[in-house]
Amino acid sequence: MHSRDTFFRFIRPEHLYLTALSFIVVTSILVSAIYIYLYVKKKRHFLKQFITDKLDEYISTILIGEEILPDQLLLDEELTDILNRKSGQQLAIDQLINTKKNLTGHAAESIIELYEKLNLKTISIQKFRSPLWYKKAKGIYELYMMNQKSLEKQIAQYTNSNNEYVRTEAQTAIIGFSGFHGLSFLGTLSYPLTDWQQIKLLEQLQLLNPDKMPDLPLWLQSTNQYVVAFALKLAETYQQMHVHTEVVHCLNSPSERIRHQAILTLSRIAQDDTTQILKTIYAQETYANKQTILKQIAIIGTDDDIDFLINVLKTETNDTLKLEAVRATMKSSLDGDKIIAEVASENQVIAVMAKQINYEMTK
Amino acid sequence: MSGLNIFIDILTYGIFIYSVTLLFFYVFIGLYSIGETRLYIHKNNFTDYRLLAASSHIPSVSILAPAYNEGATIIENVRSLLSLFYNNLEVIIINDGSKDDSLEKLIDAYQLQPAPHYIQYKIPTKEIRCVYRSKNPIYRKLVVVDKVNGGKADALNVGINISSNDYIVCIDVDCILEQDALLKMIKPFLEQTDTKVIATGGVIRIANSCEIRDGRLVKVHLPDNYWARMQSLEYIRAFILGRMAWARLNGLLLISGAFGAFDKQVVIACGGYNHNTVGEDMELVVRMRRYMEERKVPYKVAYIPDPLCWTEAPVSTRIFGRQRNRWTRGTIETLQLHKVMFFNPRYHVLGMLSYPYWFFFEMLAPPIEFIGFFVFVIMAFLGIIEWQMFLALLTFIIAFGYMYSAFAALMEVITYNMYRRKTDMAKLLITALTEPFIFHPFGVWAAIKGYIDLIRKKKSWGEMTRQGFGQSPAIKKQ
Amino acid sequence: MISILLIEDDPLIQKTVNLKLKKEGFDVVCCNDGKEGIEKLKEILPDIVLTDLMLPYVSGLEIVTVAKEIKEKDIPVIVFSGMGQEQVVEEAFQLGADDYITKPFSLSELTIRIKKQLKR
Repeated sequence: MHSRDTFFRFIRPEHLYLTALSFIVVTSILVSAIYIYLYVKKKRHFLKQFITDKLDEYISTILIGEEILPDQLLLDEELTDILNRKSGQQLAIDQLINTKKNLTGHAAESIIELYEKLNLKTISIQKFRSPLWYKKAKGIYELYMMNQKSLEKQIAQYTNSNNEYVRTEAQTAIIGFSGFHGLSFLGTLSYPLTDWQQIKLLEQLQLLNPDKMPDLPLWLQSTNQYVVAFALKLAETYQQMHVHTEVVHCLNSPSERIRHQAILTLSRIAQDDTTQILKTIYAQETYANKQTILKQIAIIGTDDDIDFLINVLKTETNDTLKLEAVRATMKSSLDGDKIIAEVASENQVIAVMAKQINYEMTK
Repeated sequence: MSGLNIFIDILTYGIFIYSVTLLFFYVFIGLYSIGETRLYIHKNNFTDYRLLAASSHIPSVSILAPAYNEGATIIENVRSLLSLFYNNLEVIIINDGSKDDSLEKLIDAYQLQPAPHYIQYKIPTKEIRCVYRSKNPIYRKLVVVDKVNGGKADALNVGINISSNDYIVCIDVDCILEQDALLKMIKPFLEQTDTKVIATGGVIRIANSCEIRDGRLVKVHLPDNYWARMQSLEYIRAFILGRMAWARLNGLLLISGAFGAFDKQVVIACGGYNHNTVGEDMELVVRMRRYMEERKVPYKVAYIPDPLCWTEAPVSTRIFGRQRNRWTRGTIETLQLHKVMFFNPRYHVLGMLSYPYWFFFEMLAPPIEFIGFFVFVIMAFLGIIEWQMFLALLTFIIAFGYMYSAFAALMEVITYNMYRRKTDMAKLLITALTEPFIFHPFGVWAAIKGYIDLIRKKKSWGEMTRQGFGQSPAIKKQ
Repeated sequence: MISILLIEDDPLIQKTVNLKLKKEGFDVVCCNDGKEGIEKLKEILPDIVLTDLMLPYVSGLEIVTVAKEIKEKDIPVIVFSGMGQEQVVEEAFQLGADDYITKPFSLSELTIRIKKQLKR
């Protein structure tokens, strides 16, 4: 009996039953919450459907060329009722944005006109002014998707915001509004620019006509490594031959990734001495960058580079690099396959590699 | 008598402390995951994945899908993989020496021909028979590798050797992926700044009873089968609560073998998948983490809570039992291989939190429960059970279980809400009531069998010969 | 009446293109996915095919191939592509596509291109 007393001194069955009961109560609350959420979500779904249908009607009429004034839509009482409520407003904004993504020209302008006439612009601006980061970012997103250029200056202040999401949306917005001119934020950016964001910006710029980037040389020498990386990508994408010197300078960067991007860029803006430069830095480079160099020589190389490539083939022990060297040789010279065949006759490994490259090149 | 009393004391206290600690962990995980889920939903409110999937700047990805005797569905599965939205993609199907007509079917359907390929054995594997590519430019993304049978880990390693891209996505070939799945999984790699992302894990959802058309999930239904349904609940708890919380702590030990993305260079540096364990998916992640810890490089294992991958769950007790058996053995083997990390501060969160948690509450839980049950039976037999106390304890634990499941279900509804119908939810919750009496005990029993099987296997370890592993075969004549 | 087969999985684009072309006096048949598209293609032998390249499951390139394989009729094919998909567009042309337009596109431009193809 002694043992049970010691144990039960601390806990009695009643305590456990009481706690269990409280668990059951919490469970009931949770289950009720589940059903409430399901109900709310269903209602929201129908609301969304309703708004979508109404907006689609309006949009279709515009698209087939008939004139319709937004006022006609505003006369629809049900719709105005819904748009007076916050939930309806957000759904309407989301739907308008979704639609606008797929349209250009007159149709897109009509969407924006509708957005403004339905007073949804004020909602977006309210969000933009919110101190909560996710609201601010969403507000910025809505404003630039709806081309609200009047707020450009205000949004531009956030391109160096300490909140990552606000910052990226602001940057995307400024590019959206001002295209290549908007890139000026790169000059003062003190935070990282992730690859994801870089890709987003590049995709945005691709929709526009290429324009001059007078500050490109400055960005290539920025103290912010991410700015340098992005500038290199810009130089690559838009073949900015005039920054060749600065890009070569980037080959001295302590960052492997920057050197990697510099190599890629150089092959796109290649001059006569480019291949020689790449060959010179080859020996000190990391494995990954050696691979990159060989891949680029495959693109820009000529007969003059065969000696270097054969040397690489003979001295490198790593098979991946050997394969790249074979590829480069066969691609940069018309006699490439003959030269490789010579080497292959004494080396079974090279022979197999050559077969693979041959297959690739004939497809 | 006093000796027995002390023994019973220790046992009761022990089990009680164990249970309470476990409960606290669960509560912590539950609450901690909320913040991370909220953050993720806010972040992704405005990302247009479709637009970026076509970009020429996104990194190259190879999907690795080992296939063994999947003849019945392989054509469809491959087709659905080939239609994923991603610009620079390679789909590598590794035929792991299937005994059926999987390979013939593929060659026929996709107009494959043997393609000369210099095979680099960056990771030692069993022999590769042939590499196939398609004559038809529409299928240029497809690569099929035929190899000698060697198991899933070996097949994946072959895929890694063949892959020419920077990131690998390892999947089960019969998984159904969402259209945007690849880009979502690669996104963490593109968002890294100072911390290197070495792997990303995704969420697996149960596809049983769902409507699937042309390799796409059209409509979600709650599974009709009891076991599949219980697994749905289990997966919801594990993914929405468990993994989310661990990811937030950067202590995630497991990425599902059915769907995971990895930095290929790091995988190769670690030596690829380990073919000596049945838990190769977990073992790789643990080894990769350990590798980064030992090199003192800041790193992260990311986790995407969106439901991206749907898979068929086992519906028969036999197959389900075997799965849990295998999972248990995999866990034990993995933890054993890396026992140096146990409460080792050198490994930070991994060693001080993740590993001990898995050791005590995942690995040891089945044996502790089993022994507890055994002791209970003996005590009942000896008439020394205080029934009042026992029933109170049982009620306490069961009630907690229900509360936890309800919480997980609520989180599911708030976030992705895959089961929209009220009846589906009701069915799920009612099925949950049976868990402590049917599903859970069966799981424990399957796990115990796993222990037994592992001990038996260890005894016959010496007889196993290493067939063909460990050296690079001579170059095959092509 | 001229028949147009439209294969596009985005419901909004489908709706708007459908409306615009109907107004221009064409008879439009819509398909949500490639599989249905191929079936309809063989069944109705339209005067022109408009297809998205980024279709789930059955690639737009397959549609081009099937359309060009039809011996009974010379069916022009116009493909929709997203930005930056030059490689896929080039492949489409290699397989026989007649014209392309990038999304987002202007409906009037699409109509002009359709009319141009039909003049052949």
